[in-house]
Formats: sequence, structure tokens, C-alpha cells
Amino acid sequence: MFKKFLNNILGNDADQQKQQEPVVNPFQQQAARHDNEADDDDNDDDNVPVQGTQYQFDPHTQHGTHYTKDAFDAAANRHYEEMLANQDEALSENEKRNLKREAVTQLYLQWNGHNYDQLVQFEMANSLELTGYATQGFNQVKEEGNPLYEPIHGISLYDYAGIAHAMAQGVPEETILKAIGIEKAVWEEVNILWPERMKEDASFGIMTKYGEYFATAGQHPKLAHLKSGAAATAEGNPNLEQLKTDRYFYEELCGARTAAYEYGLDGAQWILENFGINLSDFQAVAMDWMTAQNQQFNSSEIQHYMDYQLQKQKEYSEKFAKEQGGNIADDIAF
Amino acid sequence: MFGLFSNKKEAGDPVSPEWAQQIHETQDRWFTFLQKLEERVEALCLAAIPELKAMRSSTDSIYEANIGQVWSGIRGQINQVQEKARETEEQKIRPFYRQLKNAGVNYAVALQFIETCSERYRRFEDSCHSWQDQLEAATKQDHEALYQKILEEHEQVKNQFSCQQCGAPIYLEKIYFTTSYLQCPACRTQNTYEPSTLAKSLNWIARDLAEERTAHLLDAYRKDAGQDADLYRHYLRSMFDEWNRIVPDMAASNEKFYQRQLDDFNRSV
Repeated sequence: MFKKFLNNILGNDADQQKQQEPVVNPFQQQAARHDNEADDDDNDDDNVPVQGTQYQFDPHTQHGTHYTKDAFDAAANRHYEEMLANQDEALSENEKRNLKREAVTQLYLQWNGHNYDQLVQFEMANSLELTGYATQGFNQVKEEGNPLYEPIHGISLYDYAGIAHAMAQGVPEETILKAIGIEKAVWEEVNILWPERMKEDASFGIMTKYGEYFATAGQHPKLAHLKSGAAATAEGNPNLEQLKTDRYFYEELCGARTAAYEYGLDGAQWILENFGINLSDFQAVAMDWMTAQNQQFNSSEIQHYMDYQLQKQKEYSEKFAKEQGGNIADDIAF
Repeated sequence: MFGLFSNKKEAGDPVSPEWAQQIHETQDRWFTFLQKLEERVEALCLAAIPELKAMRSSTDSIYEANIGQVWSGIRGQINQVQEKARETEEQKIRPFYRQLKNAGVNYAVALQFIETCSERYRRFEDSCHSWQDQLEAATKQDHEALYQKILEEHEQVKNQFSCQQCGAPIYLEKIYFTTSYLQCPACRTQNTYEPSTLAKSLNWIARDLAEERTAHLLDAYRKDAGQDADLYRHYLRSMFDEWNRIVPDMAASNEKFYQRQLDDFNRSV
């Protein structure tokens, strides 16, 4: 009964997968940018500008420019102490940190016009201080002087991300190691020790920085010139260029990839075969889109793109189902 | 059939025969529909599980892309079936329930209808989850068996490596899981030793194996409803001790990770 389906996903019908036609992306339009307008919620704090005020924000701290950070921190501490005094039971360190975050959040909303998207951006920009975790795109990680970021056997975190990027592109390991100037035995130890450092780092700063480096790893001075074996090269691929500039196209391929995996296909391979974009380049572009999203946080825009991706996932699911002779319960009706 | 009309006195106004028939038919169709979906999922999983087990037993590698792909495809089909049930519940069952309420049909009867249908839907979902668990089990690597294979392999190869320069035997005093430089005790030449793929997997299975071997300690903490923090600390220490026993070379690095885990836990209590 499931012979065709199982044959498909067990790879017994590989030719069928290879014959899939490239899909032309019909969308070029970007979502309209939303302004950083304050909400119209009531504001009951006399120290805060009236509703409807257009606030300006420091691009680094995301604090409003109509007050100083010191004044905010002092007021937030007072608010936190008041909240702490009202607790019935002794709090754990985590609970105290959460309470402090709540105090900061409440005050931030009061002082900045109850703009929740702006609050999210503020929380991401200050996540290390507020939650103990770093967020990608806000330059929170300070590598200099931090022993966790010292190179391992001469391989920096940037090098490590560059090597991983080249390997995911399909460049042979031997070629990469020769270009970077290390031997296999050294590399294998490095490849164990950098992930160990990541585990050691409670702030997830190394992972965050690794993600940022991975996004730019294609320009690594020692590795950028290497050509991959099986995978398509990034240069001159119009689909890759479109992936970088057209958010709809990016969301469409994300939806297609998810749908492909759900139908037993190798989603990354499917994208490579149909659009010439390898996994490494795809992930680097994904990092860029996520960073941009963090830096210009807009909940309605995010929802819009999520809906679009789901719609595309559904369309590709229908396409894959059709190619595989339908879903297993298509003939069962209510 | 479903006890809809057994409590007439308590339930209030009697339900008209037309409504009673519609309720009965809708519920009956819903039950039949879900049963057919369950049977289809069962047939798929019964066919797929032996295939997955065969694929799993044919390789020692930790992650096998083909297995992941097949598993993903089968999960995708189960998801499709679940989605079909969810959509039908939303488009057929819920609207009919609202129709009953809007028509002023006895509230207790309408409530019993939706509760009975929901309970059947939960059983359907439980059945899907159960099959997904069985699929996952079929794809899971047996870490203990793999570890034994690694030990056996080490016994076989530990006296077989020799110096590429002078041919003197170089004893492998431990299980190397990365390519390593070994100095010849006779001529001092540095030799490159490359472990097998099986041996290289040791570091990747060590934590899972240690967790499996100390799972009873974590269970003891959970059974205590997380009340006794020392039970968790005992588990954590034991798990890392076990981990260090499996890969002694990683002990220094593991200890840093242990300290981080312990600090994280202590901040939460």
C-alpha cells in the first residue's frame, strides 16, 4: 500500500527527484517598512512625554535619547528594590534576575511610550545584562581580553567559522586545511575544543559571535578563493543574489525546504539542485536576515513573513505530495 | 450508542428526534473518520519500522543522513494525517457544536457531544504520538552496544600500530578518537595515527552513554518533584564522573562544563 511512498523516501526512486523542475519565484516585492511609532496607550507617568510623541533611540543602547542611561538605571533600581521588598518569600538568583527584568521592562515602557516592538529591541540590545545571554546583531560580545576567545592552536573563532563555512560548501577538508595552514591532527582537536568552549560559555556569547562570523565567512582572506567540489559556487548565481535581497524569496525557500524534509527529501540538496544554492551560503544569508530582523524588530512584519512562509510551505507540500502520488490519507473523507 | 440521552431528567428539555439523529450521525462519522486515519497511520508505521531498524542496524555511525531523511518523511506523513484531523475538527465538529448551541438544543446534550468528540480526538492524537515514539526508538543508536564495539576494536588494534620509519611497534595505551601524533619509543619519529570511524564516534556518544547510565539518579530527583536539590547535584556529579571515565582525555574540559551546569542549577534554587 505504501510501496510508492516508501520507495520514494528510501531512495529507490532517485531519478524522480532529479527530474524536479526549478520553480520560478514570482515575488519581488518587499514588505513595507513600519515606522518606530509609539503606541497610543495611556501613559500615567508625569515624567514621560505625552502620548503620540515621536521618540528617538540610541542605536547602541536602544534607550530613548530624551533621558540619560544613568537616570534610567537609577530609577529602575529603585523600582526593583520596591518590588523586591513586596515579595513574600526568599527568591533564587534567577527569580531576582527575572524580577529585575520586569522592573526594567515596566519602566522602559513608561518612559518610552509603551512601544512593545521597541521594548523587544531594547531587550535584545541589552540581553547580556538583562538575561545573561547574548543576542546576535547587537555587538555585545567583547573578545579582547576574554580567555574564552583565545585562538585554539592558532585557529581563531573567525577561522573556525570560515572552515565550517567552506566545509559546508563542499570544499574538500584537505584543501581547506592546506589553505589555513594546519594539519589534520590539529584540526580534529580544534574541532573538538571550540565546541567545548561554547559549552563552557553560559552567556552563549561564543555561539552568537560564531553565527555573526559564519555570515561573513565567505570573505575569509585565506578561504574565500577556494572552490567547492560538488556544491555550486556562490559567485554569479542570480538566485543567491536574490536570496540576499528578496525576503519573500528567502521565506519561500525556507518553506520549500521544510516541506521537502516532510516528504522525505533532503531539503538542502533539493535547494542546491533546483536553485544552485548550497547549504553553507543559504545559512550565511539566513544569519543576515535574522540579524537584520533583530536590529529592526517589527512584530507585524515578522508575522507577515511567517504567514508567507507557511503559505509557501503548504504549496510546496502539495507539489511534493503530487509527485509522490499523494498523501497516505487523501482518500479518507469525513 | 454514546450515552447521549441517558440522563433526560437531569439534562432538562428533551432533544428533538431530528437533532438527536444529526448529533448521532455526526459523532458516528467523526469516530469512524478518526479510526480510519489511525488505521492508516498504523499500517504506515508497521511497514516503516522494520525498514528503519534494518537501516539502523546496518551502520555504526551516530548520525546517518538516510535514516534521518526516511524518518522525517514518515513523520511528515503522520503530520499530514494529524493536520487533516485538526482541520476536520475545526470545520465540521466545532461548527456543528456552535449550531447546537445557537439552535437552543439542550446544553447538557450539546456539551456531552463536544466532550465525547474531543475525548476521541485526544485518543487519536495519543495514538499518533505513540507511533512517533516507536519510530524514534527504531532509529535510535544503541550507545551501550556501540561502546562495546569500540572497546572490542581497541583490543584488536592496540598492538598492531607500528612506526612508519623503523617499524617498531607503538602501543596504543588508550582509545584515540581524533587523529593524533604518536612518538616511536625506539627512533623518536612522530607518527600520525588516524583512528577508525568507529573509534572517532567515542566522543560523540560519551555524554549520551553517561546520561543513560545515570538516568536512575535523575529519575530519583524527578520523582521527588524536584524538592531535594542535592539529589540533582548528586546526579550531575555522577553523570560527569561517568562521562570522564568514558573519555578521560576530555575530563578537564568536561569539568568546566560541569561547573557551568552546576552554577546554572544553583541560580535556579
